[in-house]
Amino acid sequence: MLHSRISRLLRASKSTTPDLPASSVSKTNTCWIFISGATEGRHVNDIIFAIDVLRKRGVTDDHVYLFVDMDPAQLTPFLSPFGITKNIHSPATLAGELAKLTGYENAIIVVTGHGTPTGIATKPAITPHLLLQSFRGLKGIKTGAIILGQCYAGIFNFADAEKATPLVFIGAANLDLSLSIDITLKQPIKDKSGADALPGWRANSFLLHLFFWLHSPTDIDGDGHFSLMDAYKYSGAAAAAQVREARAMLHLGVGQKQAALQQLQAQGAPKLMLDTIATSLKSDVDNLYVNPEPWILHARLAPRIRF
Amino acid sequence: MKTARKVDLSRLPVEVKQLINAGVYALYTIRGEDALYALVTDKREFYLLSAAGDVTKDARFKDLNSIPFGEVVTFPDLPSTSSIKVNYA
Repeated sequence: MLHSRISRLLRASKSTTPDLPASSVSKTNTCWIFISGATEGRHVNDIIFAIDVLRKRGVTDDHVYLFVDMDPAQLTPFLSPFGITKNIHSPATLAGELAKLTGYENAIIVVTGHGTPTGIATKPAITPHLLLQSFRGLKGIKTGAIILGQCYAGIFNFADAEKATPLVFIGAANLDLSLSIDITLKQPIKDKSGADALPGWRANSFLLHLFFWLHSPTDIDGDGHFSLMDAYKYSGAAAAAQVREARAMLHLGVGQKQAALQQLQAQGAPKLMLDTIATSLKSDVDNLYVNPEPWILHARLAPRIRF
Repeated sequence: MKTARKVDLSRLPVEVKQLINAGVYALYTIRGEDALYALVTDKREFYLLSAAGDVTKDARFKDLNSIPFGEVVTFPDLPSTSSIKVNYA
């Protein structure tokens, strides 16, 4: 009796659970969309690194779209040495440009740069509603992901990720700052001439490891697949480990920088010098005391998006 | 992308050069100028620098929009005190 009731319940539950799409991300069936709400070169470097990884996976720049909130006159000198010249837009045109794209099954949106408690710090700001609307405006897309590396990524959580075109949200941080750490690559990224060109930068820690994973995927959960769920777990754990490693170096320097700043202020040092030490000190303090708390939304779908 | 040595722009403090390498600040050459650089901070303030690295003024360049930005300049031989080495090839 009990057994038959349980069986009925299980059948009913199965019949009301919508089928989740499964997708294999290939070189050509996925568009990669990068958004940066920042004017600092370090966030452009996050994108240059990601594109370098995608190229090594065989993804051509035709399938990569950039929306960077930086004056083209200042942005081009960062990108052009690496041969990145295609599909570069202003974030203000995001929804319109994405609506023009065709021929893709999957879309992966990656956000770097700054975030605020009201959205991605572009001009105008990209709100959670606008970003989701822009994703769902992509024609023919079956599934995909929005990966949020910016501060306050948690304001994009609890979106309706299951209806319409289902997607996964991944946040590097919850309702607080995300972290960037100074890194040096043992092998610098090469420019289009083959010369060493980008040996290091202050990298968004979560995104750095996400693309490290994409460069050399590992099956973290042991299910026999390289999935977005593996990417999430790897990136969160590796970023946390990197931050802990950085903290060991940073904590002594904070006191020294604070003393140096006070001394420079007393001496009436130039504004550039005062701003430089204050910026450096603030970054170190953030890295010492902020815990970003990565998160994932629509976790059931993430193992079905495979690389 | 232009590679400078850490001893170039010798009067520019090492702390500023470290933020340039980190990508927090951006240092550009200026097209048509051999001895002038533009430094843009994370707060979008800009400074014109002489070849020696001193902050200077030039009436032709009143705001960011008036600067013909050339190449990005970095100092790859300048060690970072807190940088983490990571494998990537």
